[in-house]
Amino acid sequence: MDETQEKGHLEEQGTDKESSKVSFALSGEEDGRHSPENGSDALTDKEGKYLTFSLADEEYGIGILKIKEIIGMMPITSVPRTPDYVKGVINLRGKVIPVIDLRLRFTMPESEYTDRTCIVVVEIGGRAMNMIIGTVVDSVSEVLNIKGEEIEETPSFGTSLDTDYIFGMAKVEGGVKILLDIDTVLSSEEMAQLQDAA
Amino acid sequence: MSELLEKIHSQIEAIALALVTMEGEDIPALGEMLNHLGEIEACSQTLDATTFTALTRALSAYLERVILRETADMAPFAAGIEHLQGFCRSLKNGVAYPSNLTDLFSALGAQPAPPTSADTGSGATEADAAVTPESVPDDLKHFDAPSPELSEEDLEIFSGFVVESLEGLESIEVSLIDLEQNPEDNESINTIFRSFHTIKGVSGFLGLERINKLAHRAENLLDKIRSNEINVDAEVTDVILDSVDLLKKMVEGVQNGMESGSALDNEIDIVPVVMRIEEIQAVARRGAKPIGEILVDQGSVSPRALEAAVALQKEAPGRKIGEILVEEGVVDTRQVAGALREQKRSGLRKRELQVKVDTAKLDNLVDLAGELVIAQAMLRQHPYLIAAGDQSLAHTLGQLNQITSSLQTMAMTLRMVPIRSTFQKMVRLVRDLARSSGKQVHLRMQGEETEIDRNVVDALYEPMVHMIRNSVDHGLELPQEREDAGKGAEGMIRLKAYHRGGNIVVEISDDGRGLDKARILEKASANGLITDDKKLSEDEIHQLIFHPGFSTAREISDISGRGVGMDVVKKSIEKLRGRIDIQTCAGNGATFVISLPLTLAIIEGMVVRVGDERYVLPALSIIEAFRPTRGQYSTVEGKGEMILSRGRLVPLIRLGKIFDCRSDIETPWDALVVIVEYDGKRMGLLLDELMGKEEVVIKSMGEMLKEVDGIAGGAIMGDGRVGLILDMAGIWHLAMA
Repeated sequence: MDETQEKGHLEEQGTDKESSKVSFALSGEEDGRHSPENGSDALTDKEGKYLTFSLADEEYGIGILKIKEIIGMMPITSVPRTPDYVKGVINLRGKVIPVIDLRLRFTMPESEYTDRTCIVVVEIGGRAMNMIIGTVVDSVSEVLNIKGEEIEETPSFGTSLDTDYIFGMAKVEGGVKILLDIDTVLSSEEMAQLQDAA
Repeated sequence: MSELLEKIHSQIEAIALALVTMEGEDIPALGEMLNHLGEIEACSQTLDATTFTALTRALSAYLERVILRETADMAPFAAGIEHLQGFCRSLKNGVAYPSNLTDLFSALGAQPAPPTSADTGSGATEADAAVTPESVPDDLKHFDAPSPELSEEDLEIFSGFVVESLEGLESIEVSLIDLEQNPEDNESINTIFRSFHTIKGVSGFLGLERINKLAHRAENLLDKIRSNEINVDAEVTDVILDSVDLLKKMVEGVQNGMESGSALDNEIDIVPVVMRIEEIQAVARRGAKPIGEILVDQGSVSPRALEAAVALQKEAPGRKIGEILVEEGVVDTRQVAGALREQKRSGLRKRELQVKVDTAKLDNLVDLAGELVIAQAMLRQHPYLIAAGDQSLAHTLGQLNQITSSLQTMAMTLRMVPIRSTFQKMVRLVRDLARSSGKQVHLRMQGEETEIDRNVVDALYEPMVHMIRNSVDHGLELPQEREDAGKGAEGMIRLKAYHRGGNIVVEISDDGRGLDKARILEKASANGLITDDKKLSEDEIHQLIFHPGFSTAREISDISGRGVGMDVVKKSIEKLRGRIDIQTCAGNGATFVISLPLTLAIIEGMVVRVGDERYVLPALSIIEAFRPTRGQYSTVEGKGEMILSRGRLVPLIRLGKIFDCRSDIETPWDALVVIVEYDGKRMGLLLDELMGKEEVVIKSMGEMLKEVDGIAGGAIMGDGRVGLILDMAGIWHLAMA
């Protein structure tokens, strides 16, 4: 635990870098980046601004309206008897919020937290019940304006891979971004699994 | 009659004066005039002078249009006031008002009303006594429901009205009970009057006619009470309570209308209640001797002695009842002085200025104050600043420390509210219960100003309702039964709140028959809760009533006695980390003593360590903590571990094992054992180290982690990190699973 705390201090500088990058990306809108192919399959209702981040070698995106803030790694208090992807809870300015490791959530191999590791704080749920949850990602990349025609339906991978929580795939210059339906990632199934674990 | 006309006259004069001195668009002055017109209308209704009333109403309506800037021409209004003055003079002289008002009515944009007896001057003297059923609904027939299409601004005004009115109505209920017990308590009368007045004023302005009419009638009634024309008795309080109920329904109708976008007027028939108000006003009576009643309430004077004193007072008017009683040797001066003080006290209640704040903001403030304290502590301990060794820096930091901690205390107290609101809700409950059970109940409240956490107040409501129902239904006897037992016919329920230590204590007592030990035992053995031969202490017998499925009521009433209740009460009190005790004496009533922590937000806890993890153990559940000797430790079948604590064998639970985390020490005699109690069951928790005591602020861990077994919640620790608070019930279940 002490180890984590030390890291926490280091990472703070890392976050500053990241957040400055974010604000830069926000101001410089990425218009006209797309190549308009595949217009018929366009998923226009999903177009908009996405915060992109990396997990292992893959790039993911979460709708910018879901993001509350991005903070550096900080000491996490682990909570017993919860699934391993629930890293624990942190103190976010006097509020206790749970933190999920997205790598573990997607059953990807765990990796050491580095000075680029961030906690992306998201707000999920509707009006009746909204939760604030921190998600650990390898590093945040940028904010992308993704056009409807750039988004493709998620291909099917059979039963081996659950794609319910993926909005679609965005093909942009830098490569493919996997657009997450973060509500689904963290809510329904999550709750069910937690209940089972308890 | 002439008194009324005098009043109307002075009101008209006031309007005339305001009219002359008014400058430009003076909304407050216009509002003032509107109030005067309201008073005039109220008075005129008893005069049965329809034209006069109609003129007053037309003037009010016109004034409202001026306020709403539909017209700026004050000339018709001024003319109207002139006519009103003349009309009033004619009424006084008992002659018909000669002028034709048709032109004036059309200038004011209103319809004239058909003239009645008073308008024409004949029979005006009898008018105030005769209220015929036909004359009342006359002006209640037409209602223009305001258009449901409301602008954003309108909605705000309407919702403000709804909130204010509901609050006002609640305060009426409370003051009314005060008033019933103390009929000449002017403060209560004024409070009720003001509430009705406000509702009347605003509803009139918003065009909610039904509400306006009823509030207006109720206000009139209160005015009569204020001027001692009507005496407060059960009939009067009933009709006021019914008015309050109707108004509540209508105001809620407005709210529903706003939410659903439908009509704001929900067609509730107010005529019966209005009729009753008018009847009461028609048959006005007076009486009552409050000092005597107070003395009887206190038990210093028997009702018979009071009657004798009242008879003496009639022979020698001008003498005070207290004096007579002292002279007769019934009471001593001190008792009378005490009663007088009590009589005065209600009139001296202070009204403090208040601001309404969104509770979410309040919670945020508390959170941030907590963080500030932590940041401040970290700053003080920062090696750079310590190394600086600067005197003035240390001084400034010390000051900062003081300010932040008082800020935190202040933020915490913001969440505290007086328990008054909860007590006040019981007033109505007791009244209704007494009515439906045919018992006479007097409710007394003490310490309403005692402050308690807002969340506790809300959570306390339900158990209190249960217990008061219980007291009225099972505790208090019927009047006849009481008299047979040598008690007054009227039973007493007493609510009392006070602080003791870090707790708030709420007592609910009645002077009824008390808990019947024999019946409890009989019932308990019939239900199989106990075996016959078992010897139980008195307290243990009383505790049986908290057992699920226990009820001693012979019949099931609609009030209580369904066998659910006291166990629910106990559960909810325990949920609030409180406890409940019973003090009773057969035949002399029972007292339920609830003791609760002041706030649910802070918990005093022991910080313990298991391996790398820190946990907070609620201090309330800890019995003792010690390092056991080898001799105190034993096992069953090599697995079940036990520890000997205070002569009892308790199961030993390894926290590290059930929470699946590594602990530093495996051998129990090198580690630490904390004996905790949950629901009467004891267990020993095996831990690595005790790190000290800390008062921590409890935080929810969010929807996702709200039901983690063994964890009650999170807490922000002194170093700003999150600690987990252990839940004894959960740990017990985990260990026994």
